[in-house]
Amino acid sequence: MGKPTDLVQGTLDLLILKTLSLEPMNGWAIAKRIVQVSESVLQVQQGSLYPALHRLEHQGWIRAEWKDSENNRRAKFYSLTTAGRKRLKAELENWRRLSNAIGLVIEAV
Amino acid sequence: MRWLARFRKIIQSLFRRRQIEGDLDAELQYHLEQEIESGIEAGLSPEEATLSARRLVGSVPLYKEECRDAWGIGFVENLLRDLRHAARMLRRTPLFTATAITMLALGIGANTTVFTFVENILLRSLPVHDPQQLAALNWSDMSNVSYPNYVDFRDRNTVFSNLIAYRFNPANMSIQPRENFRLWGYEASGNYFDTLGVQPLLGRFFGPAEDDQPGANPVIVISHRCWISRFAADPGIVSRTVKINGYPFTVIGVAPPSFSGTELIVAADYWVPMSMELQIEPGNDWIHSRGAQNIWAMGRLKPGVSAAQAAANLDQMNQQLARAYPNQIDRRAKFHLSRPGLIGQTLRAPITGFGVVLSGVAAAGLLLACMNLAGMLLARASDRRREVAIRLALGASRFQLLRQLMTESLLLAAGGGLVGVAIAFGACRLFSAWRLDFDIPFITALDPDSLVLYFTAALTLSTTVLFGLTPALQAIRTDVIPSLKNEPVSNRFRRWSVRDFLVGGQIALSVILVICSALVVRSLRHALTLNLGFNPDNAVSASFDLSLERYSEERSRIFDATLVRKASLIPGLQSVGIINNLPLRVSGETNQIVSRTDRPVPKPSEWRAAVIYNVSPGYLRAAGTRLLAGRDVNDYDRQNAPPVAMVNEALARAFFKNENPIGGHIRLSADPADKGVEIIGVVETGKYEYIGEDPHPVVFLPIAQTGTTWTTLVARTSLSAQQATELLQKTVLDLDPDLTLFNTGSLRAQLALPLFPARAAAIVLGILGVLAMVLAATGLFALMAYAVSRRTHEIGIRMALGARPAQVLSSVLARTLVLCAAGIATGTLITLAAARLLSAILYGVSPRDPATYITAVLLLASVGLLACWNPAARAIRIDPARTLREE
Repeated sequence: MGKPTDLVQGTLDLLILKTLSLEPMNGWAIAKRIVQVSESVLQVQQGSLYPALHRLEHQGWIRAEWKDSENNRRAKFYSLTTAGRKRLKAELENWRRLSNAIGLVIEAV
Repeated sequence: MRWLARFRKIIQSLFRRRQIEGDLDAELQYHLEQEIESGIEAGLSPEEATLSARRLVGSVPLYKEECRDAWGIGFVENLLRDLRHAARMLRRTPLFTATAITMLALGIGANTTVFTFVENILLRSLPVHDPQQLAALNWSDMSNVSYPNYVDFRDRNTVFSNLIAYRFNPANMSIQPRENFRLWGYEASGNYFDTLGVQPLLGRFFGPAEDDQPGANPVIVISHRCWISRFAADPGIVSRTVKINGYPFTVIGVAPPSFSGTELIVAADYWVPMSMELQIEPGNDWIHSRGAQNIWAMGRLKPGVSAAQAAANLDQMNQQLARAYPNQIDRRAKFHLSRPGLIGQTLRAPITGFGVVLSGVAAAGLLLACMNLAGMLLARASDRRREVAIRLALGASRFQLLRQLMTESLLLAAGGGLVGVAIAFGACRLFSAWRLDFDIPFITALDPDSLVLYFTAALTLSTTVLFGLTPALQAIRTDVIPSLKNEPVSNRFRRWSVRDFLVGGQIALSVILVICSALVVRSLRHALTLNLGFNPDNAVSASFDLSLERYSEERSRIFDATLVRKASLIPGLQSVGIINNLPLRVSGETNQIVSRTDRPVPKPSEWRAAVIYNVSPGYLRAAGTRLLAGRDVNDYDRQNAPPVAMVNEALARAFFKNENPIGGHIRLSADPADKGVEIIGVVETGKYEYIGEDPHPVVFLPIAQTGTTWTTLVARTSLSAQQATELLQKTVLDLDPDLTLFNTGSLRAQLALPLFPARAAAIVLGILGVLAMVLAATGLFALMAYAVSRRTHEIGIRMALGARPAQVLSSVLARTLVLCAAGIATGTLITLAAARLLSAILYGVSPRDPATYITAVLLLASVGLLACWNPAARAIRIDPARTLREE
């Protein structure tokens, strides 16, 4: 089943975890924030976002609760768990190592 | 643990599914609304904002499915959905479903039944404590040892913690005068029960202390079966006294229902200490003889001792014994140990061979069924090409389709498996309920247990793959575009394929089996009208064994004479006589070398044997055997009178050709000094050992000159068989109330046993024949259906161009008919060539009987046509307009 993926799956997980490390957020806000911070370079498709959120929740890295949003509507807010923080740390390190390595290769040539 | 936790989560989420779905709906709704709002903020009209937001959000159901996958409930949900879909698809084609399930059920049922047999006899252990430690003694090609050797082995060995011995024997049990019956059971060593670790149901078992002195401890343990059937489950059975062979024994215990001895194929009904051997087998004193190798032994190996070490220890002891008793013990004999239960090792090889053949036949049948089913599925797959193509076009993945198709196969296999298990359990029950009219109590019970069910489950799963995978893989390879446009698959010229040959082979196989079973059935019918050398109608018989009651030959001669005299006086019995052993009783006839006294003793290579019977005056009339020349034996042929004999025509012809045999002398040994016996009469030739035998020479000697302790009283009567049998019983018991009668009843009823091999062959061949026919029919059907469905398009065009139904029919049927004809011809030729093998169980019917062959060929031809009917009818019903429009 071919589905449009803009980001490598692991990368999206990392972006979500990182975004949530600042404060609990709902799905729409997460997508918006990633778009804003990346200066519209990264587009998060809903088709990837929600399955990713559910997967992360299922794995116990984030938890969800229903709260009132700023415009007083019920929305599902996600926040990082302790396991999620550890995971974020590991993913970040992993990412730095990888991008560093890619940088080295690219610069060398 | 992690898996367990995950599994729990999946189950929980299955139950929380509604909540999760609701959450998801709300969440996505929220997202949509936020998207619309931000669109409006950016200056779009509400309609434009909604539209663009919807475009951005995309297919909501798809996200839902992916979220479900994330929660791990997707798998279970998919499975349930696939199962529902599969059930719907199968319900839509009831004929196909029924055929497939029937075929699989027959195949799986047959395999399960055969496996139950194999598991019960070859894999199961004895129902005793720690059966893995037990090992049976075998030496050279025998499994017997002599009792004195056993005692030496038991006391001197260093490898067994215990060594037990037992011997299987018949005995007469008498609860009170005139209430006697014959039982088979064990004489067992004193340590038997202790070693096996079996616990009595009632009372106690005997121990070593009760086996130390010959004849000192007349105690008996009876089986649960015997307790129920002979003692009406009397709770006060313990310490009752019964007579065994006329000798009082005390019942000390009842064995548990699960324990019927230490052999798997015969059931013991009693156990007595081996020291009581002379009471069980009067006159046969083997307990002191090293030469009499007649007991079975098994030992419990000490921990850590291997079978090879134990055998080496036994060999060593045997050599020591051989030095001490060089004439009675073979020094070169080598021991080996085996799993116990099949008379040591003796029966394991033949039973394994039988099991392998049966399993092979059953497995081959199932394999053919799977192959035919695969053929039918292929036909179905090409019928469903459009459905598959549409689903592919709608975005189903090929894996999803494969899963779907395999689920359908699994459902079929599961249905077949369930019905198959029911069939197998039914067959096992039938088999267990069946009692063979045979003196020795063979165990026929088949008892399927959990291992059998695991086997069937595994079998069902493997058949799913076997018949389902290839058609499913073929189906998902469908090219979407041509299929949707309904283009023909490929117009490649189809050559003869392996499948065609397989179907042809199946037809040939069913021809062979049908002809064989028809021949056997015909010959069975013929056997009932065959001249047996006696007249089985209006005659009854009863057997007894005087040796068990310690009769001497002299005493049994007097007893027999008195019995015949008394019985002859009974009104309603026209004639009465005695024979040692009725012909066709399958109980081991006595054969002796016969030669004429007026010729030199022939060389061993020219020895000819005859069956010897001992008869009383009157036997010939009672049995209805015709006297062709000379006279019957009479009361003057006594011990001191000249020895005489009657012979049958076959013997007369073999030894006297055209001379008159009456007055001639024959000797019944190879001793030149033997004066021989005078032939006084010639009787008709009959059947003696089995019904299909060739004429066999036979000698009848007068009982008064030879004596016998085995006695069968035969009476010709105008009364009913039951009345006459009761009269015989009463007469015998009036003379000796302790005697036990067996094999009683009409001669006709007793023919069931000699007819058994043919009857069993007829049943087995018949069942196999029907199965093979069903297989061949389904195979043909699958082939035809496949061919027609592949050619639907082509046939449509032909019809549109004006082909008549007959032309279409012939083009579709031609290959199949060729296949049918070739299969039938091959099968017939093979049967003709192999017919000689059948003649052993055929009587009165030629193995090349033309009527049988023609009937079988016609039957198979009509089955073939029937199988082709449905697909052929479909071919001519093809509507050209519709077929062509569908493009």
